[in-house]
Amino acid sequence: MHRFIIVDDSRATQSIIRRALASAGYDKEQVHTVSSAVEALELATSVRPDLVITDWHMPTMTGLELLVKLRQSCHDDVRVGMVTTETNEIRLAEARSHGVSFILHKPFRDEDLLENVQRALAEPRHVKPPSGASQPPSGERIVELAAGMTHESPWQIESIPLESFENISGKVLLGVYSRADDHSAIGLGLMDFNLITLLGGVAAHVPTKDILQSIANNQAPNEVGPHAEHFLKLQAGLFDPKHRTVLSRASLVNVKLELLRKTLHHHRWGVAFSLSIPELASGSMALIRLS
Amino acid sequence: MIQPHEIEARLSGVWEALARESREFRLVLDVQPSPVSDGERRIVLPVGLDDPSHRAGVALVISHEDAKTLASVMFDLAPAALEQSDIDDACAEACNVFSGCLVEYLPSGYLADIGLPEAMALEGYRKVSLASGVKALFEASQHDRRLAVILFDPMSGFRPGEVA
Repeated sequence: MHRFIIVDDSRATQSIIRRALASAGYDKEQVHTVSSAVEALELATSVRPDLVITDWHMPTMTGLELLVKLRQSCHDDVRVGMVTTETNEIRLAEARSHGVSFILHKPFRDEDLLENVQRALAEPRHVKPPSGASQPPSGERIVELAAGMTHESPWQIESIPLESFENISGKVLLGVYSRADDHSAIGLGLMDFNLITLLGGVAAHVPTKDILQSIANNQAPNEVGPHAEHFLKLQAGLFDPKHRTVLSRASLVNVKLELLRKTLHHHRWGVAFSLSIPELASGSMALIRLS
Repeated sequence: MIQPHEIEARLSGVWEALARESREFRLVLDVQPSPVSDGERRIVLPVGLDDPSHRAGVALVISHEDAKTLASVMFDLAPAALEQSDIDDACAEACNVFSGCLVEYLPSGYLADIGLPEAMALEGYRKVSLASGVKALFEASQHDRRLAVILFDPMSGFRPGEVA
């Protein structure tokens, strides 16, 4: 008999989820509903749920914070599914890095909810990934990758504080890295506009004057995008040498990265570099290993 | 940038999923300051953007009749059995779900910070609508039942806690 805790500040959504679970034959008596993450944490001790289904946006404590608290508590193996309107890819990646069983966007169909619930319950309870599997990559390794795809250009690299990325505004290329086996997100890669244009431009044989003009005009030529994304792909192996990691998504986003700081509460490591080709241009990149 | 027809389809899909009723949302191109009336509910949800001084918002304006239909379906209760708090809850959740369809319409919506919905009194909402810029208005009104989702950018005059 499976035990559930539904966490949502909307009683209407609690009701929808309860009905869906009941329609699939789950025992109503074992479906507990609470309106806040704080109540859910308290209830988890007595109920010992098989699955917590939580909303994301709630007063006092978000669903993501609840997930993190559960992982840090004696209920660290509990399965957690999220039903949400959240679309922020970085936050979704963070939830996946904490082993969320599913993320379902509202409004959802009962069939989709039940399919996710059944799949989650069929899986073993959450197991913490082995820790200490990786160290931040060195600048030399990054330079090797950059040089390898830009006809051995003379890249120079300098480590910069990760916090310096908080002040960058404008377009960045954001990559989300996942484990190839279980698709859990394990890291993020960021390239600022200058680096996208410089590295992508050199790799695509864009004339130097056009690269400089593109950087000055803040308008990258179309051909640089795939090369910049390829650079992100090459970095997948830097996150965890013991597990195959892939670039699962890459998007050009327009963002002031101060938001990143607010979002990434629990990264394992983060490094940032300034990469330059002397007498041409420079740009910045960051790699962030989530939990 | 997401296209208006995609937003229209998403909003229509949300209404159908939540209220089990087919209504087609359409982008209103010629947005006029519309009169607010006591015959409808107004729920506003703030949306934080990259710049802390810049806030957008999503508003749901819904007739009492549609609000009751919505709550009746979401709670699976007959309209006569609904309490006021049920209707408030259903409208707030609908506003929350609609907001998820609209944030990509904002320039940096990719990382938008969706807040919590709040029901607003007539006067409070009037202040917000007069002080804010309307980036987009999608409407699926039927007869005298108003159903509109408004994206304010920037949103001004919103005071959290000034509830209806």
